Amino acid sequence: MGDFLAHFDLGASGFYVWLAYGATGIVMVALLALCVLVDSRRGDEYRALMQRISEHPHARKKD
Amino acid sequence: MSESEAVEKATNDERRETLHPDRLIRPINRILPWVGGAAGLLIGLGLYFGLFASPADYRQGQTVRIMYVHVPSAWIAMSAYCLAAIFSLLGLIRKHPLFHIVADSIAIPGAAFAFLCLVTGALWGRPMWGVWWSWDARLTSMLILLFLYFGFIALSQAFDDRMRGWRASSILILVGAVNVPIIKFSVDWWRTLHQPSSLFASSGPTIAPEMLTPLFLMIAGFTFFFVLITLLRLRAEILAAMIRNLHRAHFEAPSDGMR
Repeated sequence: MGDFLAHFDLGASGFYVWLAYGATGIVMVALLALCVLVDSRRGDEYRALMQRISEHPHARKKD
Repeated sequence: MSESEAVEKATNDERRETLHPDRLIRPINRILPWVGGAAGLLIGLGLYFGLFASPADYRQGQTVRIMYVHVPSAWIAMSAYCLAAIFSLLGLIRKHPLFHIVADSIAIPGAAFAFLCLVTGALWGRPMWGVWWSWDARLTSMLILLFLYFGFIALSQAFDDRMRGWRASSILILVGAVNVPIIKFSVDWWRTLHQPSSLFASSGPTIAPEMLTPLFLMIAGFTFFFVLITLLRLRAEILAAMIRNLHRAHFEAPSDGMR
């Protein structure tokens, strides 16, 4: 266990290295999660609208 | 129906056809898992080599490992800006909303990576230079790039008529494009704290091969991640445009084309 943890010991400047990698990871994961959430919500809205249109074809506008 | 109305209707029909899910969303759906997988694999390998399997620098020590996230972030931030500017220009010339939608989709991850570039740069600067921030040419021009991204994103969403917003944001991003060569060559043109280009130097990379491996892996991984985010944003934006068009066509009074 000690040998394994030794791999993560980057010495005196390790704090800055881990902070940089941590900040990068947090921003990238948050960005991905946000995009997946918005994308999924748009997909749901689109499917709901298509369902609504198919259930109410009389709502179709005439040119 | 007058001739001008007929032309307008045909144009709108053509736009709707171009934004049809079968033509744009299906290809995106097909490549998304591959792009995501490639990003995960390359970033995973890059993390392994960057944190554990590459040596510390003889002068910078372990701090050199910050370069493996800082340089790819800078690369994506600048490339994304150029891409967004090109698509905005195409949108202005062709007057097709799809180009502006692509530019919008690129700007969000571009801004995120510009922010990461500044944050990781500050975290490298503190132990190396003794300061978190310095108003030198490279750092300041990178900060301006982040503000240009913010302005572009805000302007494109600022108007009810999306076309007006896209026109304004396109002009901003095109004017701001002059900042990209300033960022690139600032270390050559002025005396800065930031070191000169070591990866894309005219005489070739001046970095040890053991350090180039994690750097290139991370650059490739970040690029795939950027493409993944852009495609997700693009799919969501296209769906939003289709929802607006369908809603207008089926449930609202006629209006003047796609927004």
